[in-house]
Amino acid sequence: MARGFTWGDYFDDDGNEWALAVDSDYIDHPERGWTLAGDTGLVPLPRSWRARRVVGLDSTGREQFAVVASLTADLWTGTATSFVIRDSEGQPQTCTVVEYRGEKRVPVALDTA
Amino acid sequence: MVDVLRPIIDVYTDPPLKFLREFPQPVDLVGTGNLPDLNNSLLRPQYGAVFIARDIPPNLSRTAGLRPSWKRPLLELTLVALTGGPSPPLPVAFLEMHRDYEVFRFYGPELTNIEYSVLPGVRVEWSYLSFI
Repeated sequence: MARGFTWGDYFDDDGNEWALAVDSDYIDHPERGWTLAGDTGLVPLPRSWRARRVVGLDSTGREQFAVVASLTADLWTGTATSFVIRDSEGQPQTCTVVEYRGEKRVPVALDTA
Repeated sequence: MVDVLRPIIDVYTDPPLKFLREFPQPVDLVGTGNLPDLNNSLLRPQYGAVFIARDIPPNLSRTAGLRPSWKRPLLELTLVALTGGPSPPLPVAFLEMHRDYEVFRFYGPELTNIEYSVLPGVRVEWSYLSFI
């Protein structure tokens, strides 16, 4: 299965919209809340920011992560309590959520000139 | 009279471990819920519980040593008790089990329920502690 990245819409905690490169395998998982950014000219999420994510445990107890697109996504509200990843052999692995990590940011100045 | 009664009351409310024994429970704990049969006998209340974690996923972070401690709690307990006022029962204590064997002491009759949450993938065998 081909992997790669697709640009998705990321809404920060203040509701601002950014473009974020998302693993193509996961962008259509509805619980993560992604929509395709398309060719909208969105500014990419600053590299020094860290998007919000949930931490899950796979069946072996290894920590896995899922970036969540918005505060209203099911994976962030708790409506969904698990997410699926592709392991290194391309097989789906279900992970159970054990932690929510909010986004982290540092001040950035956008060059609007 | 009080001098005689006090030690007896103390033994009833906080008995030494040598007066207690384990009563294994038939259903192991997984997921979340309430500990069953918490106060099913006034004559033989529970004074705590013994928990043994089984099937611990191998990749969980833990310390090295004779009795390793896991980074994430394998089991979390919330003790809920009635107050003297009109308010609903309140969570009064939060306990975390980071080792694969732990004994928690509590005085059963004051509690309305004990909520548990087991880490995904873990199964917990357990026993109540009651009078011999």
